[in-house]
Amino acid sequence: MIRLFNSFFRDRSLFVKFLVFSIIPIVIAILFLSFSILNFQKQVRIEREKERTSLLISLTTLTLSNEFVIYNKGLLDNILDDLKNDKSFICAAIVDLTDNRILSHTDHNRDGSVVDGDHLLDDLFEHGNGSEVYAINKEIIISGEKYAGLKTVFSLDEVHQEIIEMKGYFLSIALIAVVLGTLCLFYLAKVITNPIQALVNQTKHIGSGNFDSRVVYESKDIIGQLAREFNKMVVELKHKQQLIIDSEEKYRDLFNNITDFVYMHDLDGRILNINRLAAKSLGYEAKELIGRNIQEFMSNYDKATFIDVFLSPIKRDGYREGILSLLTKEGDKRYIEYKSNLLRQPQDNYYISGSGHDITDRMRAERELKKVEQQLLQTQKLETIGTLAGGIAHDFNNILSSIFGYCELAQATIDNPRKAKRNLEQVLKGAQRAAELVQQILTFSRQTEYQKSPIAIYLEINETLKLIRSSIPSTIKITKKLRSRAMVMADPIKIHQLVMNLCTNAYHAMRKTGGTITVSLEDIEISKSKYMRGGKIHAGKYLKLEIRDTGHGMDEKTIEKVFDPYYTTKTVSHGTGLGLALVEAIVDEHDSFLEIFSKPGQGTIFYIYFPIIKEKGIISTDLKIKNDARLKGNETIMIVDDEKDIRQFLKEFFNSYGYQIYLFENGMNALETFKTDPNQFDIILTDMTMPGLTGDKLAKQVLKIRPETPVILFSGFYETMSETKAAELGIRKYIKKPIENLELIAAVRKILDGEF
Amino acid sequence: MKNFRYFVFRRVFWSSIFFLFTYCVYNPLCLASDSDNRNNQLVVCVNQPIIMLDPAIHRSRTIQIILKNMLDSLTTRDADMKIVPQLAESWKLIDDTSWEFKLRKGVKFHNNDELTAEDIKFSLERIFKEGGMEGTTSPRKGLLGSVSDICIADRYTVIIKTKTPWPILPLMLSFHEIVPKKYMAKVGSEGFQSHPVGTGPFKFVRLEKDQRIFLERFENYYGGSSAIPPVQKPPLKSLVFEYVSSKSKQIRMLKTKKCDIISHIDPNAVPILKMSPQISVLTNPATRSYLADINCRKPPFNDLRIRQALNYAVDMNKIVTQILRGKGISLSTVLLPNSFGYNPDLKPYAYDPELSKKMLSDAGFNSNHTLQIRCNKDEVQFANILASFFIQIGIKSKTSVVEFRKPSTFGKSASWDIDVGSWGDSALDAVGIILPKLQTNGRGNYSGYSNPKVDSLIAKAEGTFDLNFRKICYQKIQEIVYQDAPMIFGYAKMEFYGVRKEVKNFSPSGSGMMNMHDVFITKEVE
Repeated sequence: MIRLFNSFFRDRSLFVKFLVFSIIPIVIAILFLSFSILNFQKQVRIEREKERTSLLISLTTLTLSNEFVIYNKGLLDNILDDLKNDKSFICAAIVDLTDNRILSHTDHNRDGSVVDGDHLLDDLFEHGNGSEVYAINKEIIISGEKYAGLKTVFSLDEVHQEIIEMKGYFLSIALIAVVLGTLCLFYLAKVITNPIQALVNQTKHIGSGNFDSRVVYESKDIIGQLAREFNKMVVELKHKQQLIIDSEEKYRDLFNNITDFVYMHDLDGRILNINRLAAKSLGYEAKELIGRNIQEFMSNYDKATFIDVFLSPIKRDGYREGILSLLTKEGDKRYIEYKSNLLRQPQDNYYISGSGHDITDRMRAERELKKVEQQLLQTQKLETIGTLAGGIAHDFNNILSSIFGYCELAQATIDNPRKAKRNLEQVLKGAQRAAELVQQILTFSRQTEYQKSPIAIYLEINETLKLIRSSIPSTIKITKKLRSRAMVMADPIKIHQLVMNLCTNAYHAMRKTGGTITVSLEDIEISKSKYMRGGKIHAGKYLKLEIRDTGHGMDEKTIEKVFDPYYTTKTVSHGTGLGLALVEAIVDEHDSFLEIFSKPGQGTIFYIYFPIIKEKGIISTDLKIKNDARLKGNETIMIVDDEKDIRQFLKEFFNSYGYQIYLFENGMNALETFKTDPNQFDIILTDMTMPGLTGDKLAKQVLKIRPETPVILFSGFYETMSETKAAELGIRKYIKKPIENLELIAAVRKILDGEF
Repeated sequence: MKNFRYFVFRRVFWSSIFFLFTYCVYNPLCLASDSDNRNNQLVVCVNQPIIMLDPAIHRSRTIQIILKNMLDSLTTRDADMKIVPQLAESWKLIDDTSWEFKLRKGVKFHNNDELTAEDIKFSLERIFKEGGMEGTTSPRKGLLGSVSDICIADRYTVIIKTKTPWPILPLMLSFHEIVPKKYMAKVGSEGFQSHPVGTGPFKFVRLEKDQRIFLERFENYYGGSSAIPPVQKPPLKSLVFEYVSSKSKQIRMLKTKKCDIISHIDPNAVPILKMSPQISVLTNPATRSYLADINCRKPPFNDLRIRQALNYAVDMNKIVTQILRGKGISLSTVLLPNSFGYNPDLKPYAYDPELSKKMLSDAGFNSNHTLQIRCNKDEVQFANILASFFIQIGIKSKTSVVEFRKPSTFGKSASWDIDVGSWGDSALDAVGIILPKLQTNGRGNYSGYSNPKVDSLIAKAEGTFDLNFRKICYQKIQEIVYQDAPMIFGYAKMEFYGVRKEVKNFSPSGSGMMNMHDVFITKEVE
């Protein structure tokens, strides 16, 4: 019903609505009023009629209450006959109460009959012939005695007839009132809606920007007032709009001439607005950028991480700052340091707004500086190696001597397999030692990105001390007291470098006299904050690394200078002077603190405090192989390596575990074979560094053909490949050379079993 | 709360007691002495107060009826209105003026005294002798106007002498009841009135003054007139006459069995009574003339034209047809049509208000004069009707109701102009109404009418035994009176009696009497 009502009125004009909503209540009111008055009149007339007849009957009763009258049949008849003159009268009877005999009845045939008092009225009512009647009964009392009863019946037909006539009258009046009212309302509706319509038309004009338009309605009534106010409003509006336009222009100038980036984009990265100069710095006009997605101006790598690194955090946190690289129209990379905020529009639409500053130049400068720093570091490392080379060469000679010796012995005892085996085991041992030595040198010399991770540094220190032991003369005694297994956030390489530098310095201090280097590691708890080199150390648990020598020591003056770069007490051939400066830089990088105690002739002590993150070291995630049977399998493996020995060795090794091995000496051959049937190999093991097609490129091609193919890449050159890069390419496992056989086969097995 | 309950209970309790009490008092069924248990008692409603129970005193029709049932006369009339002996055994005319009456022997008074000639002489002398009633003269003297002397021939024989020959003596003697001389001498008139004694069928028991009189059967009754059988003691054991002034109440009592007979019923009530199956309505020809005496001695009513004009002013026929429902006639003079000596040639005054007005105007009647009308209670309606006719001719009037018409209120100086009343003519003889109403100084001559011609003609009529001559005399008198119009000649209405059907053997007398001698009551209504 309501829907019908709404649908009817939705499209009607104000004029029609006004008419309908005015006329309906008026018609209802008039009808209601007419009905009420009629009803009231009816009641009043009935009451009045009853009062009138009651009075008539009272008078009649008074006449009858006379001893000369009550038994005077003629008078009784006359009196009742007189009643007949009354228009509402129907019938009457006078009943003698002594014997219930009708003394006189308007129907004279009934005179003298005896009536049952209770049913007399029913009898009288029959005379009503169905019209609405009522009775008036009176007792006729003479000298205090009840003689007779006067029973009369009157009809209300007359009143009803009057009411019917009145209804007609009221209906006519109501009809005229409705018609007149409708005409008046029609006129009124016109009077009201016409100016409003004019207003609407003017508003449309003004809405289309024509502020010079005016409503013309000269009248003093409220509509005229409204028109005047409306005109005033238009003038005001025009003024306001001009102000807005001016203000907007200023803002636009400001916005466009800002050199920094000012931007707005939606939650998908679509650019909503960007200032002119910012766009220009990317080689575009601002309008070229609006509507396009930021991702279109990113390198593939950044594109891939845009949502995770940028959009999701800002949606979550409402704020994000960082550095973003964008490609200019020419393809140059620009680094923008941005601060973005999540904002909400009134309609609950979210968008992102922020500002950014182009830091490409700064970044480049920093990178250059870093490169120089790394080159310096490398130089320093080489120097150190140079220092150590003599010792290492000696070691190698010893190892090689032992290998040669045992090889000869093995040859000589080849007929005695048990002896030969024992000699060969000694050969293997020597080779292993040589490999470890190489590993240590490579570890030291590798130039990798600085990466902190939770590690137990005693392992690193052990390794480092092994290298130091083999590189310094035995006149120097090394004492280890590595009691702590605590975890710290550290880059193992930096730790290696740190220990190496400090121990090298110690060696240098005792080179002439000989002495002892003591390296100890223990947990301490600092209960009060105090100042050290590099700042304030807060109370907490720390891992304390102590490196102490029994060398010549330093005076205070020297101590103040030792951390300056390029300061050195050594001769030019013995160092670059970068040692302690580097140490201090590493300490800083690790949020650690350093103390130095030294006196001439009394040796030097370095304390380095690392904040502990865990009490004990975690077990290394490296594979620990316990059960060889679990490593066995019959899958087909493609092995690609340009070194024949390694190829051969790997084939024999995997065969011994039941695998089928196909060897390829370069990537091109391997790829060709792979293409013939991409499903024939269950897994591919490839070396990184190969002439022609390198390992990573092979992997890329293979994965393009068959993306689910498992690829394990091993490499001896850390510079060109890292685990992260390998993962980006889709390589399942990256293994550094030299390869631990068991580690390799375990990794293979795990990948095949779907555990990676 | 408790108090309130107690209060309500007390109210209800006492209300109930009061209701029961009033119910028992007013509801006849609740008490003994109901009609069913009235033990052979008959109740008659009468219209006038029960006073002056002395036959020598002026009497109303009611008193006459009561006396007639207690006291017998020398003569009486049978159903045919013929004069028959009652206490007299026989009578004879000795000469023109001497009558010998033989008495019935062994007739006892209610006090057991024997009826003798002494009692007859005593009783009649009380009436006709000047100062016969202990020094005062009976107002009924005129009824024995011609009697001059009474002689006792023997214990049972009396000789009545008249001044002139008076043929109506036996008739007139029927109006005079015999009282015991010894008893009357002993108690006097007042004593007699409080305890009347006679020879009639019912003897006095008790009088509730004005209201009702209780009579009982006289066991030693001689049986009544031998000419009217049966001669016997009355069957009724007890007879009560009760004065009820309201006619309506009488009807109500009759309907509710509180009385057995009512009389003088308005003709308009007759249809109502006839509705009741337990009630018989008996009729009797009129015995009473309704007249309005004009004060002829008081100017301007001494002017004949004015009196005639007043007669022309009233439409008696309309009264008869509308008020009496046709149960009556309009009178040309005072005499009833069934009376002896009636003049059928005289037609009642016609209704002619224009003529009336002209005559009044001619006579110089002051139209501003307000007619003073007086009447007694029974004639109020008639008086009002007359007043309404007077209004038609432009004369105002004022009606006053009086209980008694005292002698001092008559004559020239009287305050009234018109006296509305009636005269009962139980004799049905011109003598019963012409003498009292038209004779100079007649006992009912309220108008003060006096015409020597009339008086002479009355004397002539009374003094002859020639009935035809008497009739001629009376008719002549009527002609004269018609012209003289000393009164507005009115109407006579039929008499109606309402009798409960248990009552048997009752027939109203043509003279208007109600003789209960032979009446009895059956227990069951047929």
